[in-house]
Amino acid sequence: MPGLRRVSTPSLLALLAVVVVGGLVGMSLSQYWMYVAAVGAAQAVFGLSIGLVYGQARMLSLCQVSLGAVGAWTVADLSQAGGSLPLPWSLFVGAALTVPLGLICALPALRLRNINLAIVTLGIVVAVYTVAQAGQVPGSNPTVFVAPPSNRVLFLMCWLSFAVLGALTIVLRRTKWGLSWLAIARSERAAASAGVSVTLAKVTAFAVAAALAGWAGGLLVATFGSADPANFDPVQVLTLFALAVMMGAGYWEGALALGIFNAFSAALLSQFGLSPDIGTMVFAVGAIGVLGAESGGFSGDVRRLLRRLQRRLGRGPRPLPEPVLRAAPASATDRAARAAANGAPVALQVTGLTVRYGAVVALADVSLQVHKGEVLGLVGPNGAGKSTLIDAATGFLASYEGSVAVDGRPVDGLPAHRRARMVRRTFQTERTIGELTPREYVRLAAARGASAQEIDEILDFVGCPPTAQTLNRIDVRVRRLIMIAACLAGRPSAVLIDEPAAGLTTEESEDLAARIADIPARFGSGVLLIEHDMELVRQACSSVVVLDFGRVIAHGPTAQVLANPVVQAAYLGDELLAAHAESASEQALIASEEREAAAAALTTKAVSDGR
Amino acid sequence: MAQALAGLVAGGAYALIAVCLVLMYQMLGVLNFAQSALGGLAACTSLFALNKLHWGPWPATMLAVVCGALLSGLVGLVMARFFLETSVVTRSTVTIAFLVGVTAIGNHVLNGATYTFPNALSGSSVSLFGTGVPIGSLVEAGGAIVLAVLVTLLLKRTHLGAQLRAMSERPTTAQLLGIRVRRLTVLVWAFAGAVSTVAVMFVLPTSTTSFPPLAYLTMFALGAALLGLLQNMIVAAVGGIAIGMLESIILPSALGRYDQAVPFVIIIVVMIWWRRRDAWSEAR
Amino acid sequence: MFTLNRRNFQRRPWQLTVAGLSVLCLGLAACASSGGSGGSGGSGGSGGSGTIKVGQITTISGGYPFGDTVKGTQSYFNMINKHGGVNGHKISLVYGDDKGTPSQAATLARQFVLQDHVVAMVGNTSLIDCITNKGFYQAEHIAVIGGGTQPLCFNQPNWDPVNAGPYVGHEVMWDYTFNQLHPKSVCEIEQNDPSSIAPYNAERAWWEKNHPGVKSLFTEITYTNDATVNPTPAVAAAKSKGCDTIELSTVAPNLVAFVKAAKSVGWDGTFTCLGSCYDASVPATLGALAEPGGLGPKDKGIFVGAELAAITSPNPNVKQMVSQFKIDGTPANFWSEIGWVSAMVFVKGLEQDKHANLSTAQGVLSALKAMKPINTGFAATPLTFGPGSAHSPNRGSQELLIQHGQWVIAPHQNAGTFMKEPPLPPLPG
Repeated sequence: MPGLRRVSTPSLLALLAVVVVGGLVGMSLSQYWMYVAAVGAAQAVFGLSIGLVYGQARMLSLCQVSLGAVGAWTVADLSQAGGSLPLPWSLFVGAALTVPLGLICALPALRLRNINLAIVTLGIVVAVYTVAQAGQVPGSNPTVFVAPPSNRVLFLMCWLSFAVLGALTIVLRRTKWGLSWLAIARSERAAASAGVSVTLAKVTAFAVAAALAGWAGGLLVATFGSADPANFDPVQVLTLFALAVMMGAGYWEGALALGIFNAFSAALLSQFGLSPDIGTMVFAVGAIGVLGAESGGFSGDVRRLLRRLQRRLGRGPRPLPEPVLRAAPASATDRAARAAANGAPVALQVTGLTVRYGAVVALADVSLQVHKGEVLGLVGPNGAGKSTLIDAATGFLASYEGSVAVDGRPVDGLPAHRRARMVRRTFQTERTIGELTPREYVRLAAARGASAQEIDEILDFVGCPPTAQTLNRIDVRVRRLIMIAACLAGRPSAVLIDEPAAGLTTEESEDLAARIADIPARFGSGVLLIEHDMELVRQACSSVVVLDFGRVIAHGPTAQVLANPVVQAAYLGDELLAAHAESASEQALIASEEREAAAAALTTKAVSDGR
Repeated sequence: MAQALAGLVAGGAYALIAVCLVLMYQMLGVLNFAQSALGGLAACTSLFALNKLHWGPWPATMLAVVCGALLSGLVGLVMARFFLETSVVTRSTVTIAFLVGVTAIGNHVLNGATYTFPNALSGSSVSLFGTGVPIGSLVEAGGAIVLAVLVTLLLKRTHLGAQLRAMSERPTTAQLLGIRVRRLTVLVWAFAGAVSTVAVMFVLPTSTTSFPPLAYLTMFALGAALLGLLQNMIVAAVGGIAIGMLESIILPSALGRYDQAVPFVIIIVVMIWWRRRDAWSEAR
Repeated sequence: MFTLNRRNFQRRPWQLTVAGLSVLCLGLAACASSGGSGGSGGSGGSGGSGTIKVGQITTISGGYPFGDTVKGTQSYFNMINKHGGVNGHKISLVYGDDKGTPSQAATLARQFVLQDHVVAMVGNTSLIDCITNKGFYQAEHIAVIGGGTQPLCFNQPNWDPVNAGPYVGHEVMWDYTFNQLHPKSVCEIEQNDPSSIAPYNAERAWWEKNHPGVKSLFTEITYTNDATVNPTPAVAAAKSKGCDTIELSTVAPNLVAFVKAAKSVGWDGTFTCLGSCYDASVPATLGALAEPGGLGPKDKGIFVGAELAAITSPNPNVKQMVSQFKIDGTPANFWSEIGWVSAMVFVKGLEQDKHANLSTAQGVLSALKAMKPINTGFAATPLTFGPGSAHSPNRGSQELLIQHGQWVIAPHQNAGTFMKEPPLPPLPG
């Protein structure tokens, strides 16, 4: 995949360095410490599993370690004396068999989030523990014994497991799967609007994490010799979770820190005759501290430090250059004439759209058309239903009446991420993934087969300079442009842009207008632009549709519609119109009174003259 | 019937803790996974009073309850200072961390020797339905329901209740209106701590002396709290008693070794049904 | 106000990570001196040339009160060291608490053997040591003499339990119960522990096969362990099934809880339990409830099968132990007895060969394997390590009863001697 190698390389190199150094150090340790290091490496693999689901995809699943029980039981059953498959081959089977259980855990995650998911997964933890204690599943009885390999072999097995699986998570992070996990962590709606199937993202996250956990569970059996249920005791499971939070296990170095810290602190405390409970208390305090500061834990601290070093050495990504803003676009009406004259096809057709929220009617029988080659403005006061229309058209409403068609084909039954192949939208509240660079973000949203060159061209088109900065270090204006670039990269027939100009200066608005106005000519799509900034609307849109209280109250060429008093009334309110009318009639009254007075004066004068 | 009544001891504890869970979730926006662990740690102080200072059972129990309020209040202080403006998820994850830490301390304190816990009701029983039912469990179960009713009334009818409800909706706004958010947060934590200590003290006299089971009481109480959809304290209390009785009824049957799965089946079913309409992770 | 606090807080994780890194460095420094100084968990006796180091892994915390085993073993070594040690070598003990978790047990075993270079394990009384470290002890040629809590402890080449264990314990208990107590219906309340349920079922099937008519008297009630702390439903179930005897195989604190639950539910009957229930805290805590008739007219009392001699035995070896315990402040109970007797078997076995090589584990193991049985005065049969792929030298137990607040020898046994395992064909497999 283009750009993949370039981006993963620093992390992979760092991992390789740590693996080589760690391996050499580990092999030179005494037998006992080599064993402790092996246990630490096995727990680091658990860290990778927790890190994937919680650190990357931000799903509060507490049961990852418990899933490892399936791997443990499988390895115990297969590799016991007289069993059918020795270590390490049974590890593969164990990991594979854990995946179905991971998929079962994914099911509640499709509908439940945050605290609700935490509660259900905690229930799964206790359920697994209960089943483990009953000892009825093959391999779960603690008397099933697997002879541990020699300490050296054990260390190599565990350390190499971590190395390979850690590298796997680094590579996965930059694939579409990994990017989709980061996307759903940030915002499920934004992910769907970029064409990411939220369901698929969650299912793949759980499946991969389950395989990791199953492998780690198998490694545990190799180190301890049996799949004792005490390994999956709820407090142990929660302790590892707290440690994952503290270490920031979403990154490989956090997972490694988890394992090393857990194993070595227990061993060291034991050396000095202290209880391992002290280590557990430190983890708890550490986790609380990390949660309070929202600092991303150990790995977050490490990365911040590296960035600071990079900047000091002058090697960090360069700051963005000063923006070169385009001037206001040429008149919009010419283009509209051209589009209508060429008989451009209809990109987006909304017919009779009605949306009700209980008794409130948000949209009432709204119809509009967006032609390819034109920019249609959608304006109206707050609460008129503009964003509701976009939600309905792009599949973010559960139900609506009426129909939506793209390129002549109705899309009413399709979910949001499927509609995103044909029609794209932006959001009022900016929702990008902070840790990606612009190129990575646009690549996530890009259609299949988009080349690196195409992505660069799109970014250049929207005015985002080439940069390796991550999105969280780029200002809001450019981020909004990048959101539009992400839409365009999907090669949609219609692009729906929701209030992009909020908070921009006049020059920046003009620049935005010029770019939006060029979209149809450059990409052949139709654009629907929701805006409050009338200057922008005048500059970019050839025609305008006006909504008020969910109904279309005007449509037509821009200048004409905006001058329409009905439209003005909708924005300014009826009283002012009445006030206008009142003052007009007042003036007429004064004028007629003056005329009467003048006429009376003349009559009086005539009468007095006639005497 | 007799078998079901035997489950009142555990059921009453589940009920009391479930009421605390719902109260804290509604008022403070936190799901306190460490509820019974904090109560359990406080209960250990009664051991000290009974065995080293030779106090009677009632004073020792009172000491434990006071310590429960203090300990929980301390946790509440940390939450009020650093976690007031964070999300429900973050706050609840913090309580998981507290659970881990408190269990570690508790393991250390109760290191397996045989301890006698004070039994303030001295184990007397009444005869009901042809079996002996410990008075303590009746008091516990009935007390849980009474507590739920009283707290519900307090929240609806009193000035303090109005302040609490305001605080739960918008802590910053409430602060600006002059409501002492920090003080009320600590108060609710302390109250819940005292109640959960009472719950644990009822269970301890006829139980074994290891710490983790005390911490697990919260997980079972969660099933009861969810029956009330984390909103209704009275349903949570009744649910807790029901869960305890159900576990007891299952025990002698063939499913006996899975009796602890009962609350979790409930949890999973209720959660999936309750949240079946949640299509997206956030509102627009 | 809030942001100020957040900023202060933001500095803290840094300090934590620094702390974590420093712990790591400490660890690496410790590793660098491979085979570093032991000194874990406390040791008795000073180092010095010719000191024998032995280890003990015991489940001290985690709900099971075996902690006094350490003190018992230490007391014996104190006594021996006062008289010059074994074959001229003093003995030092390192011990650790495995908390009932396999990870801790495995780590401690490796720490003691690989790091501290102990030559044997003496007094191990753990829930999982036999299971978790079985292969490790064999691979490292480590002999273990201790208290067997699991059936697997009685079926390994390197593990030598000094107690009678559940198999012998059950056989003797059933022999006494059915011949002397004549129950109408026995409810066995078992913790849901898969590693002991299967052997138990095998034992009982064997007993029932050899005692026709007994099978119908048994009813089984399992309850899950750990997660709930509530024996009341189990006792209520026993009551509803009409049992007049409840049989337990758990530890003393649980027995206390069960008796209290029985009182509260109104169950009237007799309790029997294995040697793990033998503890002074039982009569002390229960008071009148522990006496015969404490629960009601059908209550014949609380019967416990003591697998080692009662503390009050007149045997001179037992008296020696009691007086040494007084000097060291060691509590006298079943667990400290196990610690003492394990140490006794270890030392007396090594003393039989004055030229044994005691500087390596292999040497110690060979010496113990060649050992001749000794009469300890603590058990029904002579105790030894000996050759063979399984060890279970203690083949008897003594039924005890609580009377007048004390454990006394139950009636119809010869005072001062034991009931031996009844003559049955051995258990298959």
